[in-house]
Amino acid sequence: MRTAERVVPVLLLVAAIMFVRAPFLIDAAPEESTMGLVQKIFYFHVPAAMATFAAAFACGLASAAFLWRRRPMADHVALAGAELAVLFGLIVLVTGPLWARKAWGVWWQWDARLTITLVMWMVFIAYLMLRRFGGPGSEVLAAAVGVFGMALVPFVYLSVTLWRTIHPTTNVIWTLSPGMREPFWWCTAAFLLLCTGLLLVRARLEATRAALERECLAVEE
Amino acid sequence: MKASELPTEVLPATPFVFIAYAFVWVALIGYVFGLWRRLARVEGELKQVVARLEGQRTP
Repeated sequence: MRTAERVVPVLLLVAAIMFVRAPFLIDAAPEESTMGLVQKIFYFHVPAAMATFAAAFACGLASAAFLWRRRPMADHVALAGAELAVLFGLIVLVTGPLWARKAWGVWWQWDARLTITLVMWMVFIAYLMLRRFGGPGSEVLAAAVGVFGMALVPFVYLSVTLWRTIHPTTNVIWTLSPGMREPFWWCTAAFLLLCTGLLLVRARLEATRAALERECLAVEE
Repeated sequence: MKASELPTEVLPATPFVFIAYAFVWVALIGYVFGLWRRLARVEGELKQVVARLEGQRTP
């Protein structure tokens, strides 16, 4: 925990600096030939999706560890991961339709990628609702939900390959023009650093809350 | 009427890009601020409870 307390401020500071620099890099990047200016939403939309996946994996793996060993810290990390999956997932689900409205002419399409992403996001909403309203013992059921949410991530990623979909394929990232690569990977690193820092802080909040509950019980006794 | 003569909707891109980035910044800053406040409140409450517990234990 002490290492995390030293590392977190550095992570968050570096992420903040990267986020401040990001708009300048994005502005300098060339416009995409067919979509023009609206394609620049890509530089936050895709990194936010990667952060969503990272948070979903954190929740799922921590949930699995909690189901196996019932360690409280695993539960705290799982809750933190679920909350961040909802946050970054919301960013994806808002920036995507804004881009789609201009690029495709519609706000939303019930195609495989968009639908599975929405379902995955709702699974983590369900996790949070279980933890909020489920009462004592709900962390075990929520952990099962967390594992299920993580299992959806490969389907979200592969949906554009497995099914016919209007959404661009994953090849786009690897075929970016040179001027677009730097801002994209810069934003990706910024989002992932921020996700990691926030995960540690949010897990610490849960651990502190659990300690507070224990101390309150000790006072009552 | 030919297809080329049909009216087409041309939307300006700037508002969409602006709203997208503004939403991202507001969401992230809002979450970080809320998290910071929650953490400060819980840590403050924990310190008070620990102090009360130590006061109960010492004669």
